[in-house]
Amino acid sequence: MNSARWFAVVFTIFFAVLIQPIFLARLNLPGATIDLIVVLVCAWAILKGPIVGATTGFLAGLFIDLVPPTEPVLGLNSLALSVVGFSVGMLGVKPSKSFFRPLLVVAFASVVLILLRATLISIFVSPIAFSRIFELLITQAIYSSLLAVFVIPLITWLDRKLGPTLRSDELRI
Amino acid sequence: MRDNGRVRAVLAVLLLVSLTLTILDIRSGDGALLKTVRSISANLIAPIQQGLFNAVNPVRIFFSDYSELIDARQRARELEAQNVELLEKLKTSDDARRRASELDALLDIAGSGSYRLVPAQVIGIGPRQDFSWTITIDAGSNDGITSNMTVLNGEGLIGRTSTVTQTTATVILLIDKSSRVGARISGRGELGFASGQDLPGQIEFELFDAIAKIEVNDVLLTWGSEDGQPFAGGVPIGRVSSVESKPGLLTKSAVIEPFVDFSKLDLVGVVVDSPRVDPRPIVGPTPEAALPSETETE
Repeated sequence: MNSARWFAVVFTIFFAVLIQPIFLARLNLPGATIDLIVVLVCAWAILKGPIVGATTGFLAGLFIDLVPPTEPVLGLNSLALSVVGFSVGMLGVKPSKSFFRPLLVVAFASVVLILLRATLISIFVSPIAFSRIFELLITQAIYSSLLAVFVIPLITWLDRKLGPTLRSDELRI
Repeated sequence: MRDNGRVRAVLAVLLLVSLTLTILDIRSGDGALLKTVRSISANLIAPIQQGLFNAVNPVRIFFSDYSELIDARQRARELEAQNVELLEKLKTSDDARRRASELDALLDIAGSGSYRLVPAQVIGIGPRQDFSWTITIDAGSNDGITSNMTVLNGEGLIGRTSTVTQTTATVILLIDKSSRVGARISGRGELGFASGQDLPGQIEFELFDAIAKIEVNDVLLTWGSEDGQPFAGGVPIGRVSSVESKPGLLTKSAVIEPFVDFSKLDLVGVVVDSPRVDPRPIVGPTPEAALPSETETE
């Protein structure tokens, strides 16, 4: 990873965290709010592997916690998103080989993220009523995979613009 | 093998840092270091967020207008029918006029206890999968807003402010699980606590008195805190949609339907100065007064 690429990661994530409450949350769609952040984290993880995935997730979580209006306990979003970024990076799907598999991975990862977050909030903050979570999960999966159709090619294009990929970028265990 | 170790180490470090932050934040309580960090970052980000909001809002309005276009035709038909009905009513308005003058007199009394509001626009909404209900408004400490102030709109109580920057403020909504408001039933005066349930159209009201009378459609008002913070007195909250009475329990509870439609928040007011005279529950809005459009179309 060269510094230009890290800059691109930080910039895209920061943009997503800012635009989410202002635009996406106000579209008033049923169920979950369209989560551009998790889709971006997944896109970078798919392209660049677990280290980048986990770091991107961590940064995204920090930004989320520090940008109003969210006021959760600091660190919980970082924890959940770095786990998701890491796991997606470990799967090693290639968007160049299959169109649908990355979308499936993103949908699955965003659903896991909600469950992870709910569990963490239940443990550290206050118990959550899991009764309505099903609606959130279904809508989140749909929105995230639809969003990934655009986001993954965009990030792939951006990544190519930023120079050749080193083998060490895509380390997997 | 060295590479495998590196991947694991990165993950381990990130998770440890996250957990440390979490524990620090939980342990530090109010007014501690992390709160300061959050307030500084919020202050830095506020102008960017506001600029972005101004740039993006026309696009959002276009999208929501488009989706509302479908409803608009139906709405026009309803309004036409309503119009005919209202014209009928106008012809028999002598008696209504007398009642209106009486109401005016009442409103004068209510007006003496009116709130001083700072109007503000909602610029950001927290994601629903965060399991908390918060919004950002475009008024902050420059406009005289501090944390723990009442936020309301024309329909009723919305919530209270929490983090405040110079130009924006975060509002914790009434329906958030952490919200708990002292409330009384209008006209009856029975007291209790209304608390959020994380559901957009539902609040739980717990009465102190297990044998108190409470009926469906009773209106709930805030009873007000000391100095009007966090909650000013006499703000309509919602009306009772069902009453639950569990024998053997010391308290009685009711499900409240809030007057405010939390999915369509736009213009809100922040109470910067509480009324000197608490508006008595009897001059507070009745269900008809608080929900004019609904009762007329029914």
